Amino acid sequence: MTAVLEVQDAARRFGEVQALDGVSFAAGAGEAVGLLGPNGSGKSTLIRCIVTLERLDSGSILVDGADVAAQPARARQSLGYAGQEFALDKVLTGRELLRFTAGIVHLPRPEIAARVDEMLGRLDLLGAADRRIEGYSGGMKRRLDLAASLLHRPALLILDEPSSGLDLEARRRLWSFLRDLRRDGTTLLVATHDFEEADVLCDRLLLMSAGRVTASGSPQLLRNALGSFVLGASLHEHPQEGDTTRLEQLFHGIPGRPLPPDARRAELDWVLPAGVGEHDVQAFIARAQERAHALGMPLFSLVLRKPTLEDVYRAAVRGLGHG
Amino acid sequence: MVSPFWQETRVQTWRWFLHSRRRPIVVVSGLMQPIIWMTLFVLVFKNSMSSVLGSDLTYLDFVTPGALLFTAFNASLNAGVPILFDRELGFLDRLRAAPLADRFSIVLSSAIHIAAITLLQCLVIVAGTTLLGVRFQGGSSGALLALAALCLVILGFTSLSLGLAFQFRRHFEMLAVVMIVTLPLIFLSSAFAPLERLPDLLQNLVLLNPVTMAIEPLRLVYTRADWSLGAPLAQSWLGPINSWHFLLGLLLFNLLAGLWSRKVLSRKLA
Repeated sequence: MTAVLEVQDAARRFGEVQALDGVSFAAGAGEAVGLLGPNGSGKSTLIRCIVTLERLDSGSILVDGADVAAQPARARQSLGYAGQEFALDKVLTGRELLRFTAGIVHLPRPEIAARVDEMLGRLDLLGAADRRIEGYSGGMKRRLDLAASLLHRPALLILDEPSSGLDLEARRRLWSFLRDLRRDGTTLLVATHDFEEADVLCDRLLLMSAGRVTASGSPQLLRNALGSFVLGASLHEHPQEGDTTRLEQLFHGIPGRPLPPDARRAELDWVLPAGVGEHDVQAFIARAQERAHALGMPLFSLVLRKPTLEDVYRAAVRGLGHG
Repeated sequence: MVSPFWQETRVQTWRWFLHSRRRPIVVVSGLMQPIIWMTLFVLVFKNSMSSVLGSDLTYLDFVTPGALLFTAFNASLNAGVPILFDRELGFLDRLRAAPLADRFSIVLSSAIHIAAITLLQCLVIVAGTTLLGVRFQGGSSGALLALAALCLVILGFTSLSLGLAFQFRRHFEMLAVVMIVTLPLIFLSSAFAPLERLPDLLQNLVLLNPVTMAIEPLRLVYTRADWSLGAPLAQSWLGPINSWHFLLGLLLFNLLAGLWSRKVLSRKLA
């Protein structure tokens, strides 16, 4: 597959902070690659370097074969960018913004009106096209931002948290549109905090932490690689300090490792390694319950579940504990 | 076939004009400020200045070129503010990530818009003062010189302002600097008071002000039918100063402002 985006050993430092530290990956035509990572992990810096808003200290980025440092203008012709904030001029109407964008991306004049109408139609904005953007809802602004990014038919579309601030229905419609776009051959690079979005949209995920890619692969591969099951144990309905350490005693002798604590999850999530069958799991549950009884620790809950992307993220970004 | 550079410059200029049309208060307030100053100064100084200006020149005649310059200077010095808003709101990133033929079109479009709006504001002041009896005396060649002086002020201060817009991160930082700079530059000029009324030391300082460099030749053609570029307009430590000297000084100011802003823009827009 020909790479539409190639990032090689990308490094960028801001003062004392190494924002990017040797990031490498490639994305082919029609592929969707997700960037997952906490704030400050380097996702936005990477995106800003790809869209030529920042320069790399070392390494290289090729967009559709054009080096963003040596041929930035050529690279920009092949990319569309919808940032975290809506880059919209709210004084204009939706149609005016697209006509303006058509001018700065050099669409031939005779094509502009038809292309603007086409994009307004595809993103369900024709009815609001002649209204000022300041009166648009969050979902409409997001769709208009996307329409402006796609006006010149870029080979690579870069989206920074595309569904943030959107309601469930608007998110689903956006994802459906982006999937259609992929089918038409557009490559997507999506930075997100939303695990569902990453799962639904992306063929491949890069988990980033401190400027590095700490894990990569398809969502399914990443989940399978983490382990076979997760046993979540809690002593209370709401996690309490010290419970995690106490709960680790329950899992002595049971293969696996604990996930880093997460306030929204069980007090202890224990990852059972790949290859552990359901029969073994039943035995481990029974053993944990016996130990709880023996140690005088009444369990609030003991839940068995399959690993999620969020578990993968917790393990990749904050590291797995020792079993 | 329009070149990509002119296509993107035209569409960006169109956007700025849409802003002015949809937010006329910005244009009107830019016009109101010099009118208010002019009215106040005329009310306060018209009697006390009559002995200084002589019988063939009213204070309104004297102050009209100053008000024109104030309008041009004020609007140009604020030229960078909308760009800073674009930057704060992320819109500048859309432009910078777009396949522009030359990112210079971002600043050129802003400069064209500011120049056009400012000249329009100046026309309103000319029309208003004409109704009040002020007559432009300099003829067509004088009008060209007046236009050149105004354009040099607009160009120089717009360059500075656009450069500043890329130096600051937030609009309030820039507005604070503009506010600090505006009043000394206006009051340390001959906009509202004749040079000869100032103490010697201050007079020499005022002569170095680009606003004065534009006002003096402008006032000459505005008030004198028999004007000449070589006629002495002021006395400095180095000798008499005429319109040539002022215009050369203004060109030098434009050159320095242009070089500085180009340096900033090439670094920030690269």
